[in-house]
Amino acid sequence: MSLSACEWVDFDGGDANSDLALAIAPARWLVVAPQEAWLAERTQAALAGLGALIDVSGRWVPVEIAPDSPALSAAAPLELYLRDRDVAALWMFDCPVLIVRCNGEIRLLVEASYAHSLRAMLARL
Amino acid sequence: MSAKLRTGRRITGETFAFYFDGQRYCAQRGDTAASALAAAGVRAFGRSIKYRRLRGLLALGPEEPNALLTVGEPPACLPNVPAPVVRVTPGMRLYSQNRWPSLRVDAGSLLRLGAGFWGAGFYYKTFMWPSWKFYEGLIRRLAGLGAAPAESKLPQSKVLHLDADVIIAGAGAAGLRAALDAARSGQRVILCEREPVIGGELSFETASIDGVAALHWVQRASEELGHLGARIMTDTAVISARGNVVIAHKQPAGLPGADTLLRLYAPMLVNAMGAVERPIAFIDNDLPGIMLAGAAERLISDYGVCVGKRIVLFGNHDRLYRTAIRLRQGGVNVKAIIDTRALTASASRAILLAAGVECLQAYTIVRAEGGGAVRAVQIAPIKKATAVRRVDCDSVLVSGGWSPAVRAAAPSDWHSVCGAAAGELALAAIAGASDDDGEPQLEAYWRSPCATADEKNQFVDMQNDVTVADLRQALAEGFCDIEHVKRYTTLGIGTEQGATGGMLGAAIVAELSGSALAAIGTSRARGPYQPVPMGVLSGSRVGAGLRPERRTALHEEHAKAGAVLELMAGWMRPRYYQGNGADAFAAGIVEAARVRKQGGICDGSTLGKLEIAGADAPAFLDRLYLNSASAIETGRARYAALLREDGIVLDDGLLLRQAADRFTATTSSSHGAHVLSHLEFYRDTEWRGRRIAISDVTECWSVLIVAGPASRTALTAVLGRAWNEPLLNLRHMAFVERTWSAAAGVGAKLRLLRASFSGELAYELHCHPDIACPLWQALVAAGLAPFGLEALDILRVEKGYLTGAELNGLTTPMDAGLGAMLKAGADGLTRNSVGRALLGREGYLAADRPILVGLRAADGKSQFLGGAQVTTTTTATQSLGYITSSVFSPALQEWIGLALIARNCSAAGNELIARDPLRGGNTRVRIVPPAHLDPEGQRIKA
Repeated sequence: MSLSACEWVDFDGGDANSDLALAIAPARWLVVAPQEAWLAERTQAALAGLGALIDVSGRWVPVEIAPDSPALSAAAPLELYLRDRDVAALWMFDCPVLIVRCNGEIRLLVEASYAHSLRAMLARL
Repeated sequence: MSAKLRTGRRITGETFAFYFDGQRYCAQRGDTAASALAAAGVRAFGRSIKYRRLRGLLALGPEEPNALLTVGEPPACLPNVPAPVVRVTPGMRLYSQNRWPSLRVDAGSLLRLGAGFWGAGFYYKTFMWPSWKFYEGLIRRLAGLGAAPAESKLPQSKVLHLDADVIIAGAGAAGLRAALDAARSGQRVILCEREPVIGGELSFETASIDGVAALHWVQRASEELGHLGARIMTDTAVISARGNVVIAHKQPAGLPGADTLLRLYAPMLVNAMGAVERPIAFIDNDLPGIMLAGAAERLISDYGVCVGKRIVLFGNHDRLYRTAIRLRQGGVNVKAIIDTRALTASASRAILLAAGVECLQAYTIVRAEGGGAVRAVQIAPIKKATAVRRVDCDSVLVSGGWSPAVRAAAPSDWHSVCGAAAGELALAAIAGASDDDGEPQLEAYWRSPCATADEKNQFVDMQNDVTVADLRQALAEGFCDIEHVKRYTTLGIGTEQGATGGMLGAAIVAELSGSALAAIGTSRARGPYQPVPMGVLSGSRVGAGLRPERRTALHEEHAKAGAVLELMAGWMRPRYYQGNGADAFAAGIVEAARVRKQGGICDGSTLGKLEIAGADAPAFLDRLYLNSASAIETGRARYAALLREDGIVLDDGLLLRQAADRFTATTSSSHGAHVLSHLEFYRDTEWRGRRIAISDVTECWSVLIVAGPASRTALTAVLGRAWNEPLLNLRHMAFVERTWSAAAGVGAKLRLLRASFSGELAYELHCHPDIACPLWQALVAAGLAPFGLEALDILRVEKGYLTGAELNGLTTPMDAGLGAMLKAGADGLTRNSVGRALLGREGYLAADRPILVGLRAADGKSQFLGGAQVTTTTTATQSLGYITSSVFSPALQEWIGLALIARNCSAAGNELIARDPLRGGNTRVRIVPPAHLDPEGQRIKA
């Protein structure tokens, strides 16, 4: 099942105004399962021209992976990518993923159409 | 087979048997094929590629040009494995290459009789009559190194990504010193060494470092690095470096099977890969038994192998004497040292003279003698080459100096180069050693003097049988640049990429052309630094892992319905449904006919969808698209096209306006990422700082396309009462958004767009993927049968609509019939957008520029296929264009097509010939308007 999510794209150098926001690109944040209050606040910010709120529900699905899975070191230098940040957007076995470090755990989000292939690749490794 | 146990740094006392060319030999654990066979007295390891001369070991690393073996039995054998690299295992079967029927008796060696014909570039001048094909089979059998395996049983190799502060390539003296310096300063270090043990040439070095013997220093360095957290990776060769990334290949035992491809990241990359020893050219310098001096030293120190009983050393530096002393200490009889220099102050020389070893200054080896192996050399003073004297020997150790090992990367990719790789050859300078050889006092010497007629036997590049005569011929024929010499003579190609012969060849080219060596330079070596199995480079991209398959949310529905799914532009898409026909052709016709007669449903989820939002979005899209986006009303859509900067059509699709500052742009399925990149480029450069957000929402919207006369009825039945009004009143290219839920499901947003790619009354339902399946099921239950891409193609060709077959990266909007988009707006002004400025180029307006037309068979029944070229007659050689698409139309009961034809021949009614020699025959065709069916568009407006 895909996730409910929104992207906030900021025009003025601000941020997404949410502790749950994942900085996935410069001036772009992803909020998974956004709260109504946040949506309302960001809608007002968009109306004020501060940025754009885009519903991307359905784009990302979670993929389970063990933190010591060989697939992680086979895909990317994660220690390097996550040294100064908690989320990185990258290609993992040719699938676009977001790797999120949360409370010491590693979580993967993959674009929905790639989920089947990525899971199959992880199972092979 | 020797029963006496050898001792050496890399071998143990455990023995076992292995096989070479069917004969049984004995090896010790740790032996390579080279050391085990050399210990058994084997001199010849194979035959050369062109002249099929017997060849032995020259070097003791992957740069070995001659001793390439095939490991294992066909069909899953491994060819071209360097004998010094592969570690022998019990029962291993090894075979020499380039010989038939055997190494000793080779029919191909008769080629030497015609050696005068096989000079450089002979294949450009021969084998022409009666034709190349006449000789091709024989040449292919004779050509190449080794035979490719018919299958592979190798397991998939691993891939590993690691990062550090410093990556050092090479764990010899310089590499270890650099690693210690870095690790002691607190940096994270990865040290890569291609050999199974670290230390490099310190394995036979007798000097002291930091007050301890060299090998003891290596041991201490290794322990300290371990304590400091450095990572030492043996059997790991750096094969390439670029930017801050090093690619390394770990291959235990020197044989594919447990390989790992490593991508190593660090801000600092250090090249400590040392230097590669090079030979000197003299007549018949390729005989078995003639090898590089360093190789011989390593064979003794690491494997306990003496390469001969009566050895001659030949070279141009002081290290020859130190080597001779070490060889004598190892029990080798050194008969003579031939030094090309006139003077030397080497203390080692004095020791050798006192011991009775003949040490000749300003002498050279003119020629080697022998058949299957060297048995003597002819030497002479350099200034009097005719005063030849014969010296019996069974081994010649040659050293013409060293070439820094810098080929793994461009110079700019290494942050630091140290040791021999930087041209520093004195151990004292590299590692603070004492009692070492000191500077070798090398004086350049490349080849012995000889008559021009004998230059064909002075070998420069042994792997490719390139001689001095070949270099002279190349220069005489005008190939003066070293890159041209390389390609014409094959100097420096193959597995060793000029490691041993490259510098030698360049120097001889300089001599023959009267130029300075610096002006000639060396040819560019191609990566990887040493041969790597193709399977290792592919990593996990093999078999099912070759590429991901994208699936829509409706994938399982298609599978259940019996769809034949094919990979198209990365997506698994239904080409047709099996119940409708035996193959795509038959099923496509059935499905297309059903859509026209009743209706059908198709999965359009793969269409790219980009959401563009922000106050500046309308003006931005006006600049990117040919059409005016800002003129689109909210709730309406427009067919739009965008151009590249050069005026060629990049893609087409729909622009939907959701609000004053919000649009969705659809793209073709294969162009989503490309169009996104195109828009982002302009947003971030030409219109930087504007309020424009672009998001890829392709995954967020499933798209169900319902088309045909019954589509409205089916939608009314499924969507519910709330949708009655929009279904009744929705105009073409308008859309509404409401909520819809399946019977027991949660509601989700649904966008209903009236648009058609089939030419029928049609709607696109854009919905959240979670409700795509229940919506699809409901519409199928309501009487809409699924149709696939085959049918969709028929429907759109019948209407003259465009796909990538027509928008193929070469067509302008005028070519594709989109000229209406270029007209002035209501204000009379022609808009400016990306790509328009170049549309007025002369070439785009030429009379023979292609334009889109429709085609029918002139007889109303013959077949013609996409790709066929169109001409005026059956014998004309000038093509007027080609057929982009062709289908059998169930509506018209004949073959129809679209084509791009020269404008000056494109008048409707013209008859031309569709030429298709590869698939059979010529078909007379007639030009018609592209819209074959319902050109007024009445069915869309139903």
